[in-house]
Amino acid sequence: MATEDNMRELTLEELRQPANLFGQRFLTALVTIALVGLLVSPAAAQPLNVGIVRSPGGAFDPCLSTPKVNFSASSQSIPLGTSTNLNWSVQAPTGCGYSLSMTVLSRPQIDLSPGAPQDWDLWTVTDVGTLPLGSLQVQPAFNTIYVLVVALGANSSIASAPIQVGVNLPLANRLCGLAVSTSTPLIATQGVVQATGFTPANTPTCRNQVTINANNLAPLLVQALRTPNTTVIVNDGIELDLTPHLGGQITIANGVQLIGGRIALPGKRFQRGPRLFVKPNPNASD
Amino acid sequence: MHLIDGDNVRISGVRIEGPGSPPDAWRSIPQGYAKGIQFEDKINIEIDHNEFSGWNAAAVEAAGIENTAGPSDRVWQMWTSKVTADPAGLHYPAGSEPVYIHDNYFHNNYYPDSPAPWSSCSLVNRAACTPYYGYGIVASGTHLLIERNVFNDYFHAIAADGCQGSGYRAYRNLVFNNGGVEGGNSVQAFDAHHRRPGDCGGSDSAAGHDFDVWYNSFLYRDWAALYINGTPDVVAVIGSNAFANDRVIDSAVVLGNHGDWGKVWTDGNNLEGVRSWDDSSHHSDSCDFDGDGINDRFLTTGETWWFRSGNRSDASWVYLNTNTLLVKDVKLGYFSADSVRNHVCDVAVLNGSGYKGGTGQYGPLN
Repeated sequence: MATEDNMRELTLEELRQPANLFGQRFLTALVTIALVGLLVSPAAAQPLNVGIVRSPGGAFDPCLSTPKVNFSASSQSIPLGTSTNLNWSVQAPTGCGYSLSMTVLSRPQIDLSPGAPQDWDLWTVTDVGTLPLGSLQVQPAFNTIYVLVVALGANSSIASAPIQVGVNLPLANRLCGLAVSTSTPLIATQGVVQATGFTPANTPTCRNQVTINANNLAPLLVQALRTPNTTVIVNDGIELDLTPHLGGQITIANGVQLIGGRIALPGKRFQRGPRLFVKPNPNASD
Repeated sequence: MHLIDGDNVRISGVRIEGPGSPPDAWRSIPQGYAKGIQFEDKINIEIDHNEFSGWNAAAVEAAGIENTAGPSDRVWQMWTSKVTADPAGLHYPAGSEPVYIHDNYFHNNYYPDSPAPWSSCSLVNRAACTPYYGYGIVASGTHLLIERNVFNDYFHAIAADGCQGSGYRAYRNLVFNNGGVEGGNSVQAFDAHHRRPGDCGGSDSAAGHDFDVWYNSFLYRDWAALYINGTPDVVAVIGSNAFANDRVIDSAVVLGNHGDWGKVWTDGNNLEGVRSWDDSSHHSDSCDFDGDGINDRFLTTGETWWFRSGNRSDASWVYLNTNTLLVKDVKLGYFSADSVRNHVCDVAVLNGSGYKGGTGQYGPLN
């Protein structure tokens, strides 16, 4: 167990480094604590103190004050294949001598409805520099949660409230798009295209269509399978590791068609098709 | 892994691979034992042309809704309750069966568990393992159409739990000989379990609703190809299958739990004692059925025709036709204009007539 003394030694060592160069160990700890501790209470930015340095005699350290952080997305719902900007402004405490370092963390989150459980534990880390005012263009391929982590020096950090960017799946039928909308909203409003049974003849079926063409699109697969009336095409040779999915069963909604590139037919060249797999838990023992 | 949570769902053309060997495998799955696809009371479900492996509980498990008051799900209401039988056989409602599972390849879904010592339990020492898991397809209080699938390495290839709503039509499936073992004894490839009063109510000697088993080919002969552990409510009909067992009654088809043979009908066209397809009368490697320029293995079981691309171990068997002719009775070659152009083999029965590409109806090849 770490003592206050050895924690101080560690943080002093960290302090000798430029503030915008996160050590991997520090960042890993930061990410872990930020996600566990802050995402469960996303209503407001909360301080995250890592290795607090106390001045001898308890003198006030201005860098321990909470900076003002605004973090938002230009659009919280975008069509698949388009981008949006993440914008931030950070006002550091007056008198804090340390420079800023900011990191944007992103994680797939299939269900963006309030209170939905975490779907994935895979985080992508993007260092975005030290400017207190800035933006980052992002093009998420699936519903994604973003968190801005601001480090003041090397030993005090806060994480913003998470923001969500929903990715709307494209419609397969443009006629339907004209009749209803240009894209199918996700989350609560996706019910507008839910099937009510068998579709009457001559009525354009409002279907989404998504093609999975890369191995890192497992979250998109899961999101598309959850979206009613979606055709999900998975190209031959694609391998999708669904093990990191944490939400329990992968649900397949009403009217979904999962069509892979497997071909095992007379007169057609054989193709094994895409592979959707889960791995044994490496932490489990026999 | 996948839970179908709505109607009108199709899953086609993918490989769905489970975590594999327990015991650590199922610990990675929050639900416990790993199942590839599950659903309850869903209609218009089609699962086709997939490959399932590594599912230590079941690759596909379909369930109805049933308690001691009887079945109440939609499959029962719109389908199973309307199934009838007369001396001509079973009769099903018009239209498509609500759940259709076809042209899939189920393999390596058999993972015996063993309390201890684990080292003595393995796929090659199955007798040391208990209890046992790993089904291909499970009908739990629901009715399924199961057609043209291939099964290899299973506990049961197909299982039904014996509830009143349980039943299946199994047509033209290909069942290889790596089956399950329980308590040191081999178990059935196709299963129709007895009804458990605590689960579904009713008689303990009842076993499901109806079973229609036609044109399947079984290499499995360690025990029964089909075991009905009681008496089905309507009837079970077993016709024109190719069995490796030496005889049909009490060998390929076995009744347990005082089952009534009056409700289990077999026709005279079931083949008996077909113990191997690994001979020149049953297979040939001289022709190309998928047009890739490489000769494929052509298999005739006595009931159905199949091919496997390049006879590759990673390729699945593909259904061609329902036909009793064997390799020794036909001639393979590129006889029709289509076959010459596409390099897809024809199966000639007489000079100038046969089956284009090995499929479809008998007719002139030019």
